[in-house]
Amino acid sequence: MHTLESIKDELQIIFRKEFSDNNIILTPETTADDISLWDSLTHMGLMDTIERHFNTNFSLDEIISFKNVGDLINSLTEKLP
Amino acid sequence: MNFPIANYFESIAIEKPELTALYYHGKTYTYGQLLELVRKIQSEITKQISGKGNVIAIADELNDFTYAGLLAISLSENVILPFKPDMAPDRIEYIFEKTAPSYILYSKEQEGIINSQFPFLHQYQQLVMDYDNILHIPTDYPINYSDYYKDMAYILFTSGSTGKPKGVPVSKKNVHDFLDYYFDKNGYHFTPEDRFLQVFDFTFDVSYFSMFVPLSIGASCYALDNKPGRMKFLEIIQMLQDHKITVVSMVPTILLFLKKYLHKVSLPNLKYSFFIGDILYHDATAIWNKSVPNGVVHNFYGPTEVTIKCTRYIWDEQQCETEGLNNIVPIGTVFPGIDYLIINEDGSVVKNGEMGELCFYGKQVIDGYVGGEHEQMFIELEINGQKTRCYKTGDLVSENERGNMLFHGRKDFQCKINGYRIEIPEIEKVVTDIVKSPVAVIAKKNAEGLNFLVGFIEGESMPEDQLKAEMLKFLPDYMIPSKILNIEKIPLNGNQKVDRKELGLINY
Repeated sequence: MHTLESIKDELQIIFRKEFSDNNIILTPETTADDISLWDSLTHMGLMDTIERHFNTNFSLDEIISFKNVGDLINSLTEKLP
Repeated sequence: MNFPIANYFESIAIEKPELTALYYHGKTYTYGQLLELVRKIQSEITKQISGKGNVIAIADELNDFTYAGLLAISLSENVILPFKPDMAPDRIEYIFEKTAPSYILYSKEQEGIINSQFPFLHQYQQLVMDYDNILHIPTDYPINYSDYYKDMAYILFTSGSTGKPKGVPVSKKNVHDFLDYYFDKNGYHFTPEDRFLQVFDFTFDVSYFSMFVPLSIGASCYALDNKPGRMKFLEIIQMLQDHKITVVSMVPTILLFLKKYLHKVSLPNLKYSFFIGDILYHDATAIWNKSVPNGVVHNFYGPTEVTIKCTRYIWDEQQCETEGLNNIVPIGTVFPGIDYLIINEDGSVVKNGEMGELCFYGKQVIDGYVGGEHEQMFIELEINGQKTRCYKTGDLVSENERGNMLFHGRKDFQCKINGYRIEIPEIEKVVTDIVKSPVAVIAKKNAEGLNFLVGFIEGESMPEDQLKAEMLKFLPDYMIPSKILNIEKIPLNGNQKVDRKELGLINY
Protein backbone atom coordinates (compact mmCIF):
# COMPACT_ATOMS: atom_id res chain seq x y z
CA MET A 1 0.00 0.00 0.00
CA HIS A 2 1.51 3.29 -1.11
CA THR A 3 1.02 6.48 0.85
CA LEU A 4 1.90 10.05 -0.05
CA GLU A 5 4.81 9.87 2.37
CA SER A 6 6.14 6.51 1.11
CA ILE A 7 5.96 7.67 -2.53
CA LYS A 8 7.82 10.85 -1.63
CA ASP A 9 10.51 8.82 0.15
CA GLU A 10 10.93 6.45 -2.79
CA LEU A 11 11.08 9.39 -5.20
CA GLN A 12 13.75 11.00 -3.04
CA ILE A 13 15.92 7.88 -3.36
CA ILE A 14 15.39 7.90 -7.15
CA PHE A 15 16.22 11.62 -7.43
CA ARG A 16 19.35 11.23 -5.31
CA LYS A 17 20.58 8.35 -7.45
CA GLU A 18 19.59 9.94 -10.77
CA PHE A 19 21.33 13.24 -10.00
CA SER A 20 24.18 11.73 -7.92
CA ASP A 21 23.35 14.06 -5.04
CA ASN A 22 22.63 12.69 -1.59
CA ASN A 23 21.68 16.10 -0.28
CA ILE A 24 18.45 16.30 -2.29
CA ILE A 25 15.45 16.70 0.01
CA LEU A 26 12.16 16.52 -1.84
CA THR A 27 9.06 18.42 -0.79
CA PRO A 28 5.79 18.69 -2.73
CA GLU A 29 6.90 22.20 -3.73
CA THR A 30 10.25 21.10 -5.22
CA THR A 31 10.59 22.07 -8.91
CA ALA A 32 13.30 21.65 -11.56
CA ASP A 33 14.59 25.09 -10.61
CA ASP A 34 15.60 23.72 -7.18
CA ILE A 35 17.79 20.89 -8.53
CA SER A 36 20.61 22.07 -10.77
CA LEU A 37 20.91 18.95 -12.92
CA TRP A 38 17.14 18.53 -13.41
CA ASP A 39 16.70 20.01 -16.86
CA SER A 40 15.01 19.21 -20.14
CA LEU A 41 17.70 16.71 -21.07
CA THR A 42 17.55 14.73 -17.82
CA HIS A 43 13.81 15.07 -17.26
CA MET A 44 12.61 12.33 -19.59
CA GLY A 45 15.25 9.92 -18.27
CA LEU A 46 14.00 10.68 -14.77
CA MET A 47 10.38 10.02 -15.80
CA ASP A 48 11.45 6.74 -17.38
CA THR A 49 13.23 5.64 -14.19
CA ILE A 50 10.18 6.54 -12.09
CA GLU A 51 7.87 4.62 -14.45
CA ARG A 52 10.06 1.53 -14.25
CA HIS A 53 10.48 1.77 -10.48
CA PHE A 54 6.74 1.97 -9.82
CA ASN A 55 5.86 -0.25 -12.79
CA THR A 56 3.47 2.31 -14.20
CA ASN A 57 3.18 4.62 -17.22
CA PHE A 58 2.63 8.34 -17.63
CA SER A 59 1.07 9.92 -20.68
CA LEU A 60 2.79 12.90 -22.25
CA ASP A 61 -0.12 15.09 -21.11
CA GLU A 62 0.49 13.95 -17.54
CA ILE A 63 4.20 14.67 -17.78
CA ILE A 64 3.45 18.11 -19.20
CA SER A 65 1.07 18.80 -16.32
CA PHE A 66 3.66 18.03 -13.60
CA LYS A 67 4.67 21.42 -12.29
CA ASN A 68 6.36 20.19 -9.11
CA VAL A 69 7.08 17.04 -7.12
CA GLY A 70 3.66 17.31 -5.47
CA ASP A 71 1.92 16.85 -8.86
CA LEU A 72 4.09 13.81 -9.49
CA ILE A 73 3.24 12.32 -6.09
CA ASN A 74 -0.49 12.94 -6.64
CA SER A 75 -0.41 11.23 -10.04
CA LEU A 76 1.43 8.22 -8.62
CA THR A 77 -1.00 8.02 -5.68
CA GLU A 78 -3.89 7.69 -8.13
CA LYS A 79 -2.13 5.05 -10.23
CA LEU A 80 -0.66 2.85 -7.51
CA PRO A 81 -2.50 0.34 -5.32
CA MET B 1 18.33 48.32 -49.88
CA ASN B 2 15.16 48.78 -47.88
CA PHE B 3 13.96 45.92 -45.71
CA PRO B 4 10.34 45.39 -46.78
CA ILE B 5 9.38 42.71 -44.26
CA ALA B 6 8.84 45.19 -41.43
CA ASN B 7 7.00 47.47 -43.85
CA TYR B 8 4.56 44.65 -44.66
CA PHE B 9 3.83 44.40 -40.93
CA GLU B 10 3.24 48.14 -40.78
CA SER B 11 0.80 48.06 -43.72
CA ILE B 12 -1.22 45.20 -42.22
CA ALA B 13 -1.29 46.91 -38.82
CA ILE B 14 -2.75 50.03 -40.43
CA GLU B 15 -5.27 48.17 -42.64
CA LYS B 16 -6.35 45.44 -40.21
CA PRO B 17 -5.31 46.51 -36.70
CA GLU B 18 -7.74 44.04 -35.10
CA LEU B 19 -5.85 40.93 -36.30
CA THR B 20 -3.88 38.99 -33.70
CA ALA B 21 -0.16 39.55 -34.17
CA LEU B 22 1.43 38.10 -31.08
CA TYR B 23 0.66 35.77 -28.23
CA TYR B 24 2.97 35.80 -25.28
CA HIS B 25 2.60 34.62 -21.71
CA GLY B 26 -1.19 34.33 -21.76
CA LYS B 27 -1.73 37.69 -23.48
CA THR B 28 -2.53 38.49 -27.08
CA TYR B 29 -1.51 41.63 -28.92
CA THR B 30 -3.25 42.83 -32.03
CA TYR B 31 -1.33 44.27 -34.96
CA GLY B 32 -2.66 47.68 -33.91
CA GLN B 33 -1.43 47.34 -30.32
CA LEU B 34 1.97 46.08 -31.42
CA LEU B 35 2.33 48.90 -33.95
CA GLU B 36 1.59 51.44 -31.21
CA LEU B 37 4.53 50.11 -29.19
CA VAL B 38 6.71 49.89 -32.31
CA ARG B 39 5.98 53.55 -33.12
CA LYS B 40 7.02 54.73 -29.66
CA ILE B 41 10.35 52.90 -29.87
CA GLN B 42 10.90 53.86 -33.51
CA SER B 43 10.28 57.53 -32.82
CA GLU B 44 12.77 57.51 -29.94
CA ILE B 45 15.36 55.77 -32.12
CA THR B 46 14.96 58.25 -34.96
CA LYS B 47 14.95 61.16 -32.50
CA GLN B 48 18.36 60.10 -31.21
CA ILE B 49 19.98 58.75 -34.36
CA SER B 50 19.95 60.58 -37.63
CA GLY B 51 21.67 58.00 -39.81
CA LYS B 52 20.71 54.51 -40.94
CA GLY B 53 22.58 51.23 -40.62
CA ASN B 54 23.46 51.77 -36.96
CA VAL B 55 23.89 48.67 -34.87
CA ILE B 56 21.28 48.60 -32.10
CA ALA B 57 21.70 45.94 -29.43
CA ILE B 58 18.44 44.56 -28.12
CA ALA B 59 17.98 42.43 -25.02
CA ASP B 60 16.27 39.26 -26.18
CA GLU B 61 13.52 38.88 -23.62
CA LEU B 62 11.11 37.12 -26.03
CA ASN B 63 8.27 39.37 -24.89
CA ASP B 64 6.19 42.09 -26.54
CA PHE B 65 9.03 44.62 -26.09
CA THR B 66 11.45 42.36 -27.94
CA TYR B 67 9.11 41.98 -30.91
CA ALA B 68 8.28 45.68 -30.97
CA GLY B 69 11.95 46.57 -30.60
CA LEU B 70 13.03 44.28 -33.44
CA LEU B 71 10.36 45.74 -35.72
CA ALA B 72 11.27 49.31 -34.70
CA ILE B 73 14.97 48.70 -35.45
CA SER B 74 14.06 47.23 -38.86
CA LEU B 75 11.57 49.99 -39.70
CA SER B 76 14.12 52.68 -38.82
CA GLU B 77 16.54 50.86 -41.18
CA ASN B 78 19.04 50.06 -38.47
CA VAL B 79 20.72 46.75 -37.66
CA ILE B 80 19.54 44.22 -35.05
CA LEU B 81 22.14 42.88 -32.62
CA PRO B 82 20.35 40.52 -30.20
CA PHE B 83 21.87 39.56 -26.86
CA LYS B 84 20.44 37.44 -24.07
CA PRO B 85 20.46 39.02 -20.62
CA ASP B 86 21.52 35.65 -19.21
CA MET B 87 24.53 35.42 -21.53
CA ALA B 88 28.02 35.26 -20.02
CA PRO B 89 29.07 38.89 -19.30
CA ASP B 90 32.47 38.49 -20.97
CA ARG B 91 30.79 37.22 -24.12
CA ILE B 92 28.46 40.21 -24.27
CA GLU B 93 31.36 42.58 -23.62
CA TYR B 94 33.32 40.99 -26.48
CA ILE B 95 30.33 41.15 -28.86
CA PHE B 96 29.77 44.84 -28.04
CA GLU B 97 33.45 45.68 -28.46
CA LYS B 98 33.36 44.10 -31.91
CA THR B 99 30.18 45.82 -33.09
CA ALA B 100 30.11 49.12 -31.15
CA PRO B 101 26.31 49.39 -30.90
CA SER B 102 24.86 52.89 -31.04
CA TYR B 103 22.16 51.97 -28.55
CA ILE B 104 21.19 49.24 -26.16
CA LEU B 105 17.48 48.59 -26.07
CA TYR B 106 15.89 46.75 -23.14
CA SER B 107 12.70 46.80 -21.12
CA LYS B 108 12.35 48.31 -17.68
CA GLU B 109 11.96 44.77 -16.32
CA GLN B 110 15.61 44.08 -17.19
CA GLU B 111 16.95 47.26 -15.62
CA GLY B 112 18.02 45.52 -12.41
CA ILE B 113 19.89 42.75 -14.23
CA ILE B 114 21.55 45.17 -16.65
CA ASN B 115 22.73 47.39 -13.79
CA SER B 116 24.02 44.57 -11.58
CA GLN B 117 25.39 42.03 -14.09
CA PHE B 118 26.71 44.17 -16.89
CA PRO B 119 28.34 47.35 -15.52
CA PHE B 120 30.30 47.76 -18.78
CA LEU B 121 27.01 48.42 -20.61
CA HIS B 122 26.78 51.80 -18.93
CA GLN B 123 29.23 53.28 -21.38
CA TYR B 124 26.73 52.78 -24.20
CA GLN B 125 23.69 54.93 -24.91
CA GLN B 126 20.58 53.20 -23.60
CA LEU B 127 16.89 53.15 -24.40
CA VAL B 128 14.76 51.66 -21.63
CA MET B 129 11.36 50.51 -22.90
CA ASP B 130 8.18 50.88 -20.90
CA TYR B 131 4.52 50.92 -21.94
CA ASP B 132 4.22 54.60 -21.06
CA ASN B 133 7.43 56.01 -22.44
CA ILE B 134 10.87 55.14 -23.75
CA LEU B 135 13.56 56.49 -21.51
CA HIS B 136 16.81 57.59 -23.13
CA ILE B 137 19.86 57.36 -20.87
CA PRO B 138 22.59 59.37 -22.55
CA THR B 139 26.29 58.69 -22.02
CA ASP B 140 29.54 60.11 -23.35
CA TYR B 141 29.88 57.14 -25.69
CA PRO B 142 30.10 58.55 -29.20
CA ILE B 143 27.79 57.32 -31.92
CA ASN B 144 30.06 56.58 -34.82
CA TYR B 145 28.06 56.82 -38.00
CA SER B 146 29.46 54.53 -40.61
CA ASP B 147 28.28 52.94 -43.81
CA TYR B 148 29.80 49.63 -42.82
CA TYR B 149 26.55 47.93 -41.81
CA LYS B 150 24.08 49.97 -43.87
CA ASP B 151 22.86 46.96 -45.86
CA MET B 152 22.60 44.62 -42.89
CA ALA B 153 19.44 43.30 -41.24
CA TYR B 154 20.99 41.63 -38.20
CA ILE B 155 24.27 40.46 -36.73
CA LEU B 156 24.44 37.13 -34.91
CA PHE B 157 27.38 35.68 -33.04
CA THR B 158 28.09 31.96 -33.32
CA SER B 159 30.65 29.82 -31.55
CA GLY B 160 34.17 30.29 -32.95
CA SER B 161 37.00 27.78 -33.08
CA THR B 162 39.60 30.38 -32.06
CA GLY B 163 38.10 30.70 -28.61
CA LYS B 164 35.99 33.77 -29.40
CA PRO B 165 32.54 33.93 -31.03
CA LYS B 166 32.27 34.82 -34.72
CA GLY B 167 30.10 37.77 -35.78
CA VAL B 168 27.87 36.97 -38.77
CA PRO B 169 26.36 40.07 -40.40
CA VAL B 170 23.37 39.07 -42.55
CA SER B 171 22.19 41.57 -45.15
CA LYS B 172 18.61 42.71 -45.75
CA LYS B 173 18.87 41.32 -49.26
CA ASN B 174 19.89 37.90 -47.94
CA VAL B 175 16.93 37.81 -45.53
CA HIS B 176 14.61 39.00 -48.26
CA ASP B 177 15.86 36.35 -50.70
CA PHE B 178 15.42 33.69 -48.01
CA LEU B 179 11.86 34.72 -47.06
CA ASP B 180 10.88 34.99 -50.71
CA TYR B 181 11.23 31.19 -50.92
CA TYR B 182 8.15 30.83 -48.71
CA PHE B 183 5.71 33.34 -50.14
CA ASP B 184 3.25 31.25 -52.17
CA LYS B 185 6.10 29.34 -53.73
CA ASN B 186 7.67 25.93 -53.39
CA GLY B 187 4.46 24.40 -52.07
CA TYR B 188 3.94 26.93 -49.24
CA HIS B 189 0.62 28.72 -48.85
CA PHE B 190 0.54 30.52 -45.53
CA THR B 191 -2.58 32.53 -44.72
CA PRO B 192 -3.59 35.10 -42.05
CA GLU B 193 -5.30 32.22 -40.22
CA ASP B 194 -1.95 30.51 -39.66
CA ARG B 195 -0.45 30.39 -36.19
CA PHE B 196 3.37 30.15 -36.11
CA LEU B 197 5.13 28.95 -33.00
CA GLN B 198 8.38 30.63 -32.14
CA VAL B 199 10.52 28.20 -30.20
CA PHE B 200 13.99 29.75 -30.23
CA ASP B 201 15.42 33.01 -28.96
CA PHE B 202 16.60 35.68 -31.38
CA THR B 203 20.26 34.71 -31.16
CA PHE B 204 19.21 31.66 -33.24
CA ASP B 205 18.42 32.77 -36.79
CA VAL B 206 15.43 30.45 -37.31
CA SER B 207 13.52 32.85 -35.02
CA TYR B 208 13.55 35.49 -37.76
CA PHE B 209 11.61 33.05 -39.95
CA SER B 210 9.10 32.33 -37.17
CA MET B 211 8.57 36.05 -36.59
CA PHE B 212 8.93 37.77 -39.96
CA VAL B 213 6.85 35.34 -42.04
CA PRO B 214 3.65 35.53 -39.92
CA LEU B 215 3.95 39.26 -39.25
CA SER B 216 4.37 40.08 -42.91
CA ILE B 217 1.21 38.22 -44.01
CA GLY B 218 -1.24 39.05 -41.21
CA ALA B 219 -0.82 35.71 -39.42
CA SER B 220 0.06 35.38 -35.74
CA CYS B 221 3.26 34.52 -33.93
CA TYR B 222 3.07 32.54 -30.69
CA ALA B 223 6.14 32.90 -28.51
CA LEU B 224 7.18 30.12 -26.21
CA ASP B 225 7.10 31.39 -22.65
CA ASN B 226 10.45 32.78 -21.63
CA LYS B 227 9.94 32.23 -17.93
CA PRO B 228 12.73 30.50 -16.01
CA GLY B 229 12.53 26.74 -16.10
CA ARG B 230 14.04 24.21 -18.39
CA MET B 231 11.30 21.90 -19.62
CA LYS B 232 11.21 23.60 -22.99
CA PHE B 233 10.49 20.52 -25.10
CA LEU B 234 7.40 19.70 -23.09
CA GLU B 235 6.23 23.30 -23.33
CA ILE B 236 6.56 23.13 -27.12
CA ILE B 237 4.17 20.15 -27.29
CA GLN B 238 1.80 21.88 -24.90
CA MET B 239 1.79 25.06 -27.01
CA LEU B 240 1.27 23.07 -30.22
CA GLN B 241 -1.74 21.35 -28.67
CA ASP B 242 -3.31 24.23 -26.71
CA HIS B 243 -3.02 26.91 -29.39
CA LYS B 244 -3.68 24.74 -32.44
CA ILE B 245 -0.40 25.87 -33.98
CA THR B 246 -0.21 25.37 -37.75
CA VAL B 247 3.49 26.07 -38.49
CA VAL B 248 6.50 25.23 -36.35
CA SER B 249 10.27 25.12 -36.81
CA MET B 250 12.01 22.91 -34.26
CA VAL B 251 15.32 21.21 -33.62
CA PRO B 252 15.15 17.42 -34.24
CA THR B 253 16.41 16.88 -30.69
CA ILE B 254 12.80 17.15 -29.51
CA LEU B 255 11.96 13.88 -31.29
CA LEU B 256 14.76 11.98 -29.58
CA PHE B 257 13.87 13.49 -26.27
CA LEU B 258 10.15 12.64 -26.43
CA LYS B 259 10.42 9.53 -28.61
CA LYS B 260 8.85 7.15 -26.11
CA TYR B 261 5.75 9.34 -25.75
CA LEU B 262 5.32 10.67 -29.28
CA HIS B 263 2.88 7.97 -30.41
CA LYS B 264 0.36 9.40 -27.92
CA VAL B 265 0.60 12.95 -29.34
CA SER B 266 -2.02 14.10 -31.82
CA LEU B 267 -1.66 17.42 -33.58
CA PRO B 268 -4.34 17.54 -36.30
CA ASN B 269 -3.96 21.31 -36.78
CA LEU B 270 -0.24 21.29 -37.51
CA LYS B 271 0.25 21.78 -41.25
CA TYR B 272 3.99 22.29 -41.42
CA SER B 273 6.60 20.61 -39.20
CA PHE B 274 9.95 22.11 -40.08
CA PHE B 275 13.10 20.62 -38.61
CA ILE B 276 16.47 22.36 -38.64
CA GLY B 277 19.63 22.67 -36.63
CA ASP B 278 20.74 19.09 -36.18
CA ILE B 279 20.55 15.57 -37.59
CA LEU B 280 16.98 14.36 -38.17
CA TYR B 281 16.54 10.63 -37.72
CA HIS B 282 14.19 8.69 -39.97
CA ASP B 283 12.64 6.36 -37.36
CA ALA B 284 11.79 9.23 -35.00
CA THR B 285 10.37 11.23 -37.93
CA ALA B 286 8.10 8.30 -38.85
CA ILE B 287 6.61 8.36 -35.33
CA TRP B 288 6.21 12.15 -35.43
CA ASN B 289 4.57 11.94 -38.85
CA LYS B 290 1.77 9.83 -37.38
CA SER B 291 1.11 12.60 -34.84
CA VAL B 292 0.55 15.16 -37.60
CA PRO B 293 -2.08 13.48 -39.82
CA ASN B 294 -2.83 16.68 -41.76
CA GLY B 295 0.68 17.99 -42.08
CA VAL B 296 3.94 17.65 -43.94
CA VAL B 297 7.43 17.21 -42.52
CA HIS B 298 10.29 19.12 -44.09
CA ASN B 299 13.93 18.73 -43.10
CA PHE B 300 15.98 21.90 -43.59
CA TYR B 301 19.65 22.66 -43.42
CA GLY B 302 21.29 26.06 -43.21
CA PRO B 303 24.32 27.62 -41.54
CA THR B 304 23.83 31.17 -40.19
CA GLU B 305 26.29 32.27 -42.90
CA VAL B 306 23.84 31.16 -45.63
CA THR B 307 20.86 32.95 -44.00
CA ILE B 308 18.73 30.61 -41.93
CA LYS B 309 17.91 27.75 -44.33
CA CYS B 310 19.25 26.84 -47.74
CA THR B 311 18.37 23.19 -48.45
CA ARG B 312 15.12 21.24 -48.04
CA TYR B 313 14.05 17.62 -48.02
CA ILE B 314 10.36 16.79 -48.17
CA TRP B 315 10.10 13.75 -45.94
CA ASP B 316 8.30 10.72 -47.34
CA GLU B 317 8.42 7.46 -45.41
CA GLN B 318 9.09 5.13 -48.34
CA GLN B 319 11.46 7.38 -50.20
CA CYS B 320 13.45 8.25 -47.09
CA GLU B 321 13.75 4.59 -46.18
CA THR B 322 15.44 3.91 -49.51
CA GLU B 323 17.72 6.92 -49.68
CA GLY B 324 18.40 7.80 -46.03
CA LEU B 325 21.90 7.08 -44.78
CA ASN B 326 22.30 5.26 -41.43
CA ASN B 327 18.75 6.29 -40.46
CA ILE B 328 19.66 9.95 -41.14
CA VAL B 329 17.12 11.94 -43.18
CA PRO B 330 18.79 13.61 -46.21
CA ILE B 331 19.13 17.40 -46.20
CA GLY B 332 17.70 17.43 -49.70
CA THR B 333 18.16 19.91 -52.51
CA VAL B 334 19.50 23.46 -52.46
CA PHE B 335 16.99 26.34 -52.71
CA PRO B 336 16.65 27.68 -56.26
CA GLY B 337 19.08 30.49 -56.97
CA ILE B 338 21.69 29.50 -54.39
CA ASP B 339 24.90 28.09 -55.86
CA TYR B 340 26.86 25.30 -54.25
CA LEU B 341 29.77 22.96 -54.75
CA ILE B 342 30.97 19.81 -53.02
CA ILE B 343 34.75 19.93 -52.88
CA ASN B 344 37.75 17.79 -51.97
CA GLU B 345 40.54 18.83 -49.59
CA ASP B 346 42.44 20.35 -52.55
CA GLY B 347 39.48 22.52 -53.61
CA SER B 348 38.56 20.42 -56.64
CA VAL B 349 34.95 19.38 -57.18
CA VAL B 350 34.20 15.78 -56.15
CA LYS B 351 33.03 13.19 -58.68
CA ASN B 352 29.31 12.40 -58.82
CA GLY B 353 28.14 10.76 -55.62
CA GLU B 354 31.42 11.21 -53.76
CA MET B 355 31.63 12.79 -50.34
CA GLY B 356 33.17 16.24 -49.87
CA GLU B 357 32.79 19.56 -48.10
CA LEU B 358 29.67 21.56 -48.93
CA CYS B 359 30.38 25.13 -50.08
CA PHE B 360 27.98 27.92 -51.02
CA TYR B 361 28.24 31.11 -53.02
CA GLY B 362 25.88 33.74 -54.40
CA LYS B 363 22.37 34.32 -53.07
CA GLN B 364 21.90 34.22 -49.26
CA VAL B 365 25.64 33.84 -48.55
CA ILE B 366 27.29 36.46 -46.30
CA ASP B 367 30.21 38.50 -47.62
CA GLY B 368 32.38 37.93 -44.56
CA TYR B 369 32.49 38.02 -40.76
CA VAL B 370 32.49 41.08 -38.50
CA GLY B 371 35.87 42.77 -38.61
CA GLY B 372 36.93 40.75 -41.66
CA GLU B 373 38.02 37.93 -39.33
CA HIS B 374 37.96 34.15 -39.90
CA GLU B 375 38.81 34.48 -43.59
CA GLN B 376 39.84 30.82 -43.57
CA MET B 377 36.11 29.97 -43.71
CA PHE B 378 36.06 31.24 -47.29
CA ILE B 379 37.82 29.87 -50.34
CA GLU B 380 38.34 31.43 -53.75
CA LEU B 381 37.53 28.96 -56.50
CA GLU B 382 37.58 29.29 -60.26
CA ILE B 383 34.00 28.76 -61.41
CA ASN B 384 33.09 29.17 -65.09
CA GLY B 385 36.35 30.99 -65.65
CA GLN B 386 35.74 33.48 -62.84
CA LYS B 387 37.32 33.63 -59.41
CA THR B 388 34.44 33.15 -56.98
CA ARG B 389 34.40 33.52 -53.21
CA CYS B 390 32.75 30.49 -51.55
CA TYR B 391 31.77 29.85 -47.95
CA LYS B 392 33.04 26.51 -46.61
CA THR B 393 30.44 24.99 -44.30
CA GLY B 394 32.72 22.32 -42.78
CA ASP B 395 29.86 19.85 -43.38
CA LEU B 396 30.63 16.65 -45.28
CA VAL B 397 27.93 15.65 -47.75
CA SER B 398 27.37 13.59 -50.88
CA GLU B 399 24.70 13.92 -53.53
CA ASN B 400 22.66 10.91 -54.59
CA GLU B 401 21.22 10.17 -58.02
CA ARG B 402 17.96 11.94 -57.14
CA GLY B 403 19.92 15.11 -56.41
CA ASN B 404 19.34 14.89 -52.66
CA MET B 405 22.25 15.64 -50.39
CA LEU B 406 23.15 13.23 -47.61
CA PHE B 407 24.85 14.49 -44.47
CA HIS B 408 27.92 12.51 -43.35
CA GLY B 409 29.21 14.61 -40.45
CA ARG B 410 31.60 17.44 -39.68
CA LYS B 411 35.17 17.75 -40.89
CA ASP B 412 36.17 19.67 -37.74
CA PHE B 413 35.31 19.82 -34.06
CA GLN B 414 31.97 21.53 -34.36
CA CYS B 415 28.92 19.88 -32.81
CA LYS B 416 25.32 20.72 -32.02
CA ILE B 417 23.77 20.76 -28.56
CA ASN B 418 20.00 21.34 -28.67
CA GLY B 419 20.45 22.96 -32.07
CA TYR B 420 23.11 25.40 -30.86
CA ARG B 421 26.27 25.35 -32.94
CA ILE B 422 29.31 24.76 -30.76
CA GLU B 423 33.00 24.89 -31.64
CA ILE B 424 34.67 22.57 -29.14
CA PRO B 425 38.02 24.45 -29.32
CA GLU B 426 36.23 27.55 -27.97
CA ILE B 427 35.31 25.64 -24.80
CA GLU B 428 38.79 24.11 -24.52
CA LYS B 429 40.37 27.56 -24.78
CA VAL B 430 38.20 28.95 -21.96
CA VAL B 431 38.85 25.97 -19.66
CA THR B 432 42.60 26.02 -20.37
CA ASP B 433 42.74 29.70 -19.48
CA ILE B 434 41.03 28.95 -16.16
CA VAL B 435 42.83 25.78 -15.06
CA LYS B 436 46.21 26.36 -16.79
CA SER B 437 46.46 22.64 -17.62
CA PRO B 438 45.93 20.58 -20.80
CA VAL B 439 42.23 20.21 -21.50
CA ALA B 440 40.09 18.27 -23.98
CA VAL B 441 36.35 18.33 -24.56
CA ILE B 442 34.46 15.69 -26.53
CA ALA B 443 30.85 15.29 -27.64
CA LYS B 444 29.17 11.98 -26.83
CA LYS B 445 25.69 10.63 -27.41
CA ASN B 446 23.45 9.34 -24.63
CA ALA B 447 21.12 6.34 -24.93
CA GLU B 448 18.46 8.46 -26.68
CA GLY B 449 21.01 9.71 -29.22
CA LEU B 450 21.24 13.21 -27.72
CA ASN B 451 24.61 14.99 -27.80
CA PHE B 452 26.26 15.99 -24.55
CA LEU B 453 29.71 17.30 -23.71
CA VAL B 454 32.35 15.77 -21.45
CA GLY B 455 35.44 17.71 -20.39
CA PHE B 456 38.81 16.23 -19.37
CA ILE B 457 41.46 18.09 -17.41
CA GLU B 458 44.97 16.79 -16.94
CA GLY B 459 45.91 16.61 -13.25
CA GLU B 460 44.07 18.15 -10.34
CA SER B 461 41.95 21.28 -10.64
CA MET B 462 39.31 23.21 -8.73
CA PRO B 463 36.03 21.44 -7.79
CA GLU B 464 33.68 20.83 -10.74
CA ASP B 465 30.95 23.20 -9.46
CA GLN B 466 33.44 26.03 -9.00
CA LEU B 467 34.94 25.44 -12.44
CA LYS B 468 31.51 25.44 -14.09
CA ALA B 469 30.68 28.72 -12.32
CA GLU B 470 33.93 30.22 -13.69
CA MET B 471 33.14 28.96 -17.19
CA LEU B 472 29.69 30.56 -17.08
CA LYS B 473 31.39 33.96 -16.96
CA PHE B 474 32.63 33.34 -20.50
CA LEU B 475 30.33 30.76 -22.08
CA PRO B 476 26.58 30.21 -22.45
CA ASP B 477 25.14 27.36 -20.38
CA TYR B 478 24.71 25.04 -23.39
CA MET B 479 28.50 25.11 -23.85
CA ILE B 480 29.21 23.87 -20.32
CA PRO B 481 30.10 20.13 -20.34
CA SER B 482 27.63 17.90 -18.49
CA LYS B 483 30.56 16.23 -16.76
CA ILE B 484 34.15 17.34 -16.17
CA LEU B 485 36.73 14.73 -15.19
CA ASN B 486 40.28 15.02 -13.92
CA ILE B 487 42.58 12.45 -15.52
CA GLU B 488 46.26 11.78 -15.10
CA LYS B 489 47.19 12.46 -18.71
CA ILE B 490 45.28 13.60 -21.80
CA PRO B 491 45.93 10.74 -24.28
CA LEU B 492 47.61 11.64 -27.57
CA ASN B 493 47.51 9.70 -30.83
CA GLY B 494 50.39 8.92 -33.20
CA ASN B 495 50.22 12.45 -34.63
CA GLN B 496 50.55 13.88 -31.13
CA LYS B 497 46.97 15.15 -31.32
CA VAL B 498 44.41 14.59 -28.59
CA ASP B 499 43.11 11.04 -28.93
CA ARG B 500 39.40 11.79 -28.75
CA LYS B 501 38.43 8.21 -29.48
CA GLU B 502 40.29 7.00 -26.39
CA LEU B 503 38.72 9.77 -24.31
CA GLY B 504 35.33 8.55 -25.47
CA LEU B 505 36.05 5.14 -23.98
CA ILE B 506 36.72 6.46 -20.48
CA ASN B 507 33.96 5.42 -18.11
CA TYR B 508 32.87 7.58 -15.20
